[in-house]
Amino acid sequence: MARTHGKHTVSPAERAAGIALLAALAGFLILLAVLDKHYDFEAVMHAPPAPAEGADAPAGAGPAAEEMLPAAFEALGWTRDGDIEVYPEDRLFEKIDGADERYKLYGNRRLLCGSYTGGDDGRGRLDVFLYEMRTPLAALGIFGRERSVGAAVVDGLGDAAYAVHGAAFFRKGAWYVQVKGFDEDAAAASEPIARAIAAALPSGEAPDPAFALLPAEERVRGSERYEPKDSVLGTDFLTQVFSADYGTGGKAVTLFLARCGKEAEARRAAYAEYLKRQGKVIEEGVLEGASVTLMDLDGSYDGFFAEGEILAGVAGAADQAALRRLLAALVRSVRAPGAPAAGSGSD
Amino acid sequence: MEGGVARRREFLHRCAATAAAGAVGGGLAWWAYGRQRPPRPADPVSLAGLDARFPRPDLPGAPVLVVARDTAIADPRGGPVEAAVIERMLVRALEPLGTMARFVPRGGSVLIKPNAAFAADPLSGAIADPRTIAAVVKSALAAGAGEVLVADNPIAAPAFVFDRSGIAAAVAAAGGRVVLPDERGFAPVRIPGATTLPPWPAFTAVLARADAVIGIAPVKDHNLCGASLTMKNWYGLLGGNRSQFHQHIHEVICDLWRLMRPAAPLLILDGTRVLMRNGPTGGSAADVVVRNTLAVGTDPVAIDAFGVTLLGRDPRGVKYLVEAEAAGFGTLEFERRMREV
Repeated sequence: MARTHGKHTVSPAERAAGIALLAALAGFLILLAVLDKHYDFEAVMHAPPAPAEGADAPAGAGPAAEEMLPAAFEALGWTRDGDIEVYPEDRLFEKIDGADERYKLYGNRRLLCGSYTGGDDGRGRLDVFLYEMRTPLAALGIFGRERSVGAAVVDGLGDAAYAVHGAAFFRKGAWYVQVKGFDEDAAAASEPIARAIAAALPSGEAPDPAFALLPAEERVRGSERYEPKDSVLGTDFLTQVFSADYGTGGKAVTLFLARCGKEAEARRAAYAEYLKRQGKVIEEGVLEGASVTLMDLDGSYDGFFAEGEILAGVAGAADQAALRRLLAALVRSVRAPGAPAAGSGSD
Repeated sequence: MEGGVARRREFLHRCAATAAAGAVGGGLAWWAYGRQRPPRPADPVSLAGLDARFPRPDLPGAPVLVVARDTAIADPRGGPVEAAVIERMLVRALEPLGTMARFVPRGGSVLIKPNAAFAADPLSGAIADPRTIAAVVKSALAAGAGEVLVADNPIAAPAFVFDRSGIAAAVAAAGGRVVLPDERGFAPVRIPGATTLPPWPAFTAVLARADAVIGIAPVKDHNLCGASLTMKNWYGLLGGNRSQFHQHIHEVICDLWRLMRPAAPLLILDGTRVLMRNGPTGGSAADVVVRNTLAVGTDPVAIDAFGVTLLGRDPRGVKYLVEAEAAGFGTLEFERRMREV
């Protein structure tokens, strides 16, 4: 039945069409409003950061930046040149473009930077980089990954430390700290400044109990490493790899274990196939009650076994005797943990 | 019947009026929405004209890569190489390629793109040595360049980077000028044949001004692409949040050569100090070895393959070099086209 509006008569069909058009217009406006709220270029372009291993440190934990990077280390005669720079994980590239992915792999929270001048004539220069990682294990991982081969271990500085000419590096809790310089003034000041910073940092929990499964005897002090994705052994299928170097001279041997969950046997088989491409099996037998495989990799000797949810092994032994000795120690340690935690061992 | 026709006509008029009102309303809403969006980037530009500005004279039989070494006077402590030593190596290396005059148009504008990515001490091996950059600036001016500009786009605090690294002072002393990146100097570039890099802001202001381009790269380990050398050096021309390309860095490096190839840049590899590990930033002096080597060439694959050997690695293990050779950008068999002086 038609209705009358003013001088016009509106039929039901006209009314329905008008309502439909108005509804379409309203829907279009709502769509625009929704799109406007969701149109975020940054969200589209950025990949979310990789989840960190283990539990995160509480947000905002730790002292104020000014405590760690003060305006001056007065007793040492070094003064900060400029402001403290702060880069959260998603902006690390602004400071260390290209290297930022290395830190993201382990899980980074932020980077604090300060540049200092000092020394005899005030022309010495040091750059201090404080990486707050998400966990103490992440700090241990990146610390071990970047450690310079042959660098001297420094005692009593954080949880572990080493120094090279002009620079000192240490980790403490979830923090990984670099005090870097190249001139003679930096060489004299880098370690004292590192100690001053370490004193301002909170202590953290032990990185991970997995290191207690590696034998303490013959372990090279400060050589512990952790890799979320293997870069020590060269595989592309091992994750959560804990390792350390062993030996009291000559070529270091690597002992490792990888957490595999229910995949331990499959990973053992894959690792065997991986090594067989590089060498030959010299023995598949039983050592200290574990089923082990011993390999000759063109003059370098490797061995491995699976135990529970762990794949463990020895890489790079100089001869079969050393391989058997270290592998036996590793089997005993994995089966009866209790060796001292990371940081102990021999030089 | 007439009444029915009239109603239908009126119905259609009303529908049209309603639709027109809807279109006007919707258009106004769209206009208002557009005002709130981030500004749309300008249409990408092409740099295809780079090749026509300075046709380089042919030099039949010239090598594509020349390597100069001066190990006899290497500082055993790993200290800085003397500027005079680098200048001598540069002159020797350029001789078989026809000297700097072959690469620099008389009176023209020369752009030097060093790797100045970080506010790092040159002894770290993470950036091109200021002494090497200065030697190239002097050489270009001596060859008749009207001006020599030095530019890079370190992401954070470019002025600080150029000052702190010593590059600004070295360039000024040599007679060149450092051009700092500024957002007005960037425009989206569309690279013909690019496989991965979309139209993206690049430091076009300096490229558009240049009559000739010279790249100077250090030899260093790189966390993502294995080795950072002359091809990777062009990454520094990109603006914006370029870190999002890290997962496709090999392809992007090849795309960047597609951008620079028409300019036929002279490539210089600064192997005076080599960052063997912990690149691209470097960690300490323990990561660096002194090689006192300077390589100069025109084939990016050959010169970078040589650079990989300075890192003690196999060039075929660097993915972007293999892809670049497959794309016809140069040869990994650098020994055949190399001359040592």
